[in-house]
Amino acid sequence: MIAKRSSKQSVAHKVFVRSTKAGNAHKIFREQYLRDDVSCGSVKCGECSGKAQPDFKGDVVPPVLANTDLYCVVDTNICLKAIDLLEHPDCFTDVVIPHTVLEEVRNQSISVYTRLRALTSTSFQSKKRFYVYHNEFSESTFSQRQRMETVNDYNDRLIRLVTKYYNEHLSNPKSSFKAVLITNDRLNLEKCRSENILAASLHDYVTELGNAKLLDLVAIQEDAADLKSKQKNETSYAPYISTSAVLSGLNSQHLHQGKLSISRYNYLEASVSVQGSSKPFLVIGRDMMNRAFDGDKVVVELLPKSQWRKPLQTLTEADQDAGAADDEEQESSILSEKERLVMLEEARNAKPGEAEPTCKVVAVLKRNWRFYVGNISSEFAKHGERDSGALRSVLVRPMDKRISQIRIQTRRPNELAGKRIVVAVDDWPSWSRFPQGHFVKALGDIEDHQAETEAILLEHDIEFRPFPQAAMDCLPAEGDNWKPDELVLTSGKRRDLRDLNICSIDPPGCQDIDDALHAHVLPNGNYSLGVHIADVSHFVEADTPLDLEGALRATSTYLVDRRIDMLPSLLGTNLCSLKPYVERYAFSVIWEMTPEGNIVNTDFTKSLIKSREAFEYTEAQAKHDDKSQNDDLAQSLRILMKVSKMLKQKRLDAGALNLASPEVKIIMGDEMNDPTEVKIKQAVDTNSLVEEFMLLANITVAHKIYEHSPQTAMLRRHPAPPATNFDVINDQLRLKGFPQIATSSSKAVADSLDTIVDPKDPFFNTLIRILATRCMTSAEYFAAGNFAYPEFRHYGLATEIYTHFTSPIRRYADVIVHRQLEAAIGYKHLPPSHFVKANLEKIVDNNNNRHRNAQLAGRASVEYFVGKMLKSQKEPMVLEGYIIKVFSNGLGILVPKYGLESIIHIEDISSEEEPASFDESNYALILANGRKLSIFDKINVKVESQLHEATGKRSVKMTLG
Amino acid sequence: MSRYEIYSPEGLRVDGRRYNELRYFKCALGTHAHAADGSAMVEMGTSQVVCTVKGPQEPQQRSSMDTKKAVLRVNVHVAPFSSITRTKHTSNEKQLQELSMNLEETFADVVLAHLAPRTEIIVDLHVLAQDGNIMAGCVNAMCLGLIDAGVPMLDFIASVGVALADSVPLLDPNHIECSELPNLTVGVTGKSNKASLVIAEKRILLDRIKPSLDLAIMGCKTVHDIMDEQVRIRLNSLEDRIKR
Ligand SMILES: [Zn+2]
Repeated sequence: MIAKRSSKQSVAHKVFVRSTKAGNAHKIFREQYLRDDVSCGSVKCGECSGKAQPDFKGDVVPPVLANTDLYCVVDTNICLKAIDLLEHPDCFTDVVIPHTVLEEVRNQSISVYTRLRALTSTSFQSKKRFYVYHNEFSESTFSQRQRMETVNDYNDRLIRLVTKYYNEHLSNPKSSFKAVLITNDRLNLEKCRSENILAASLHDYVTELGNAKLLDLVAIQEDAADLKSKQKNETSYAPYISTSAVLSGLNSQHLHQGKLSISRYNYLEASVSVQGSSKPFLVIGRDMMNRAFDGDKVVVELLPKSQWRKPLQTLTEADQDAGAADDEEQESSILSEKERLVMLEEARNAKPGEAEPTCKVVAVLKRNWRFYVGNISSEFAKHGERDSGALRSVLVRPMDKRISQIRIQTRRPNELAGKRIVVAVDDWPSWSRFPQGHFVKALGDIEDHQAETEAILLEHDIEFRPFPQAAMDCLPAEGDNWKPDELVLTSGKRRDLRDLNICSIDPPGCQDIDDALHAHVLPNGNYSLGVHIADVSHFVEADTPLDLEGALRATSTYLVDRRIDMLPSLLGTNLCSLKPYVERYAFSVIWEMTPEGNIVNTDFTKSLIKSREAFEYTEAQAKHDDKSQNDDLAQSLRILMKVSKMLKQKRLDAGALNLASPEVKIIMGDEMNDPTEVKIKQAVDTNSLVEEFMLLANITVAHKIYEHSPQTAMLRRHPAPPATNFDVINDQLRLKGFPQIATSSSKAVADSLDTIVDPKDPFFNTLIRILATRCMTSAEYFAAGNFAYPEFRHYGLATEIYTHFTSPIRRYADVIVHRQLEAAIGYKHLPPSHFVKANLEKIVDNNNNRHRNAQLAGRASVEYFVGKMLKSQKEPMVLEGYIIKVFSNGLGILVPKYGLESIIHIEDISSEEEPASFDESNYALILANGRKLSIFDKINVKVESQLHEATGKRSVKMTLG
Repeated sequence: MSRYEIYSPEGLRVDGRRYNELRYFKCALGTHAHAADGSAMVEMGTSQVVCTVKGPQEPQQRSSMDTKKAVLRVNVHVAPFSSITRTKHTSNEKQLQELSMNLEETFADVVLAHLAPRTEIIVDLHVLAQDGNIMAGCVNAMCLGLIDAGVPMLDFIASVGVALADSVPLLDPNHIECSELPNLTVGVTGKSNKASLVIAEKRILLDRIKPSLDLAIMGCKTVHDIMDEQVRIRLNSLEDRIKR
């Protein structure tokens, strides 16, 4: 190893001014070292490879760009707007990404940056060859920023220099090699022309390739002015205010920032949770939302009090504008400072029942744009008709109702009609009624099984592509033949538990067995009980590509007919999975417990185990119940059962909630995509046996890791719901003459839920539990340092601290917890990246999001299959349903048998001659014939499957039976 | 995620250096010859530290005298304009006090204090610009300042920082690298291969320290050579002056 000194000549300085969050300007002075050994990365060049320097490991980066005649140099905008095209196998084969561009991309979109970087980690033999040229560190292409030159102009000039350099550096009289700058910036193109640098717009480049399908992928790049004049009749939105106005507004609390979330019931109503306010501010109507998408980080301004309102009591599903909010006369919004503060105070303390504060979006800080799956609206294209080949502007209707229609341009609208397609959003100028986007790919025909499944995954942002090679390379080389190494036992760090009678209990068909259990009586009469968890962290080393992929996926996703794994299946279903009859590594928590259920001793250890049997729930139940069986496993099942009942009683005494959500199981026929039966999941005692021990293990581990890392321990909390969440349901219960749900504590909730029964209807209690669950907040992961200890509480489980330890094969949080426990018991050092709280917070956020998405995807999949099952019925079914919501124009219905939830629209039960009236205070609709339909009523509903014309989405249609 | 690619797959750092390259290192002795008995200036990249040394001299306070050896006292001053945001530092700030103590202890091993009992040596370090951690700059400046003041010493102490980007050690980290990565400051006495000073700013995994130390020691040697060169230049100019 040698250390090199830098010469004075090599130092250049970069000076720039950056404004800070607090509104100050900082002048930043940074050194830059210019080098003569930055390689051009081309196999054509002999000169650079001679100068190449080895890296720390002694490797020299080999040239990437192949011996072809055309290299493309791309600018930042192309990377951001056309990343799909850059990834496309049929174009952009040899690409130079100037480092200037890469940095700009990184600052604007981490996800595009990641994709771009993935493209660069290829070799010259692969099909696509991308190379990052560090132009600002190369003597040949560096240039000082000139006086009065804007940063954008400077960067553009640097990129032109790169193009020029490649042309000169690799020019060869014998070949026709050229490097072309691809940019859509008109000014830059002109400058290229005057400086004699080869350049082309994206559109021209793709046209040159002569592939019509590729052309569709090019984002709309018509001149903004042309398009604007074409669409001048459309609505125009208020322009966003400037960044400096946003900063000063936020500072003075004139403006507020938060994440916009659009209601799932009414896409014209959104809410923004603002710091310091107990209730979110409402945003009502398209104009007030001002082009913001669901999940965008927005800046809002409160509206005057006269415009505050109750949340809309109507459903909006068709594409119509809510005129109400817009037509109202705009009151002069000039308020005195004092009035404004009073209003803000009122907005923050708004009580339920009173008018709720409304606001309007004045700027979008960060877009939450992703890919959207949808279909071309039928008025624009007819399936089966021939395309003329001319470029046409069409609207795409996303499957997610909360997303506005998106305008794209295509040459083959008719070919794409009737297909599920993926589009990306590029821009939403203030003069355009719809956002502008471009076509990405077609998934397949609407209602095609494959296409619909992919659509569900894409819509929930679930990574389902195969694992990248780099991640697969981290797996043990022996593959399926991997065997635990007995030598590890000699180190004393891993304990030999192969003699324990361990077994696992799981749902039928479970392949990824996370957990196994054991129990036996100790000589002193106490019990030894153990939970053994798959030792995933043994195989997934921190910060390896495999770990990063797992961290990104964060959870496995279970669809009805498909499982998307968090880890490659070699690990998930074999090496980590605690399969019976084979030796496996495990992470064990072992308790010594008195027969009364008091814990005397707790022990954590890495272990080597051999499971004796993998039971299904019902099998374990049968073995437990069969008095004639007295073997070791039967006995340990009985101990486990006995202890689990004690544990459960203790939890319930402490106030743990026994909530309900209708979980549906779909039984598949012989043909994979034909569901034959839908069932509500049935639970047996062994379900709760496993659950109790998992809870105990999680709680025990949570205490241990918190003790060891009070700042970074990854824990899970469930905040108590605000009492006001129960206001509506309690009001409804009161009207119906039932007891109230007490809200003072989780115990009070649990106890009062037991009293709300209808002697004539055993399901009624479950129904109330389902609805009460919806009043709760959701549990979340967090880093211990971010909350005070009392706030750690898990409300639903009634425990003061909790974490996830028991499912590392399918949840990434558990993998982190395993590593933290390893460090806590001195098995292994914590990887450096896990010390950093900021790092952990990112993992926490990602886990929380992915977790929710995976659940939603699972539900969407069930919904899809139920829809298919209904479709196969010839006659609409008449089923029992409960009214769970009453709107002025419809009823929300839950059908317990299939866990179905849908809406009866008022048009289907009334007409203009026979109108229905809405009794808001009694939560009831009264039909013309006098029939009163009120909340919690059990009614017969006719259920059938219906294809929604516009979105091509199959859904459940309900009418009165 | 960081704003920057700290260490790119192409093997370049935020400022264009490779892992084993020092920033431009500049130093001089006798920069403030009229103000003190010894003075020196060290620049590591845009970091700049000036050192002035008074003594060995009669102690100002008798109470701080040692009858067996000279007392070494170090004060570190950080200029308010030295970093991006203008902040006032007082010398009794905990961090600076710790820094002073570390410096006193490090140099106690090489300064031949027993040769000048009942005296004190006062070292003032002025950090004029900080880009990355300031410890290494202070050690180097102090070393040269002491030499310029003619304080008898066993050998040079040369110092340099090293940061760890995952498993790759980065020599002489700048401000961005220091704030993003765990880093060490290492000092080496003379031409030995042993670190006489190792200070870690954040937790570093034990098995990753070894390659970092190796690289830092090589860096210290290079710094040693540059400083040695300057000491000889200063010596020659003094000789010239005497001859004249
Ligand atoms: Zn070359």
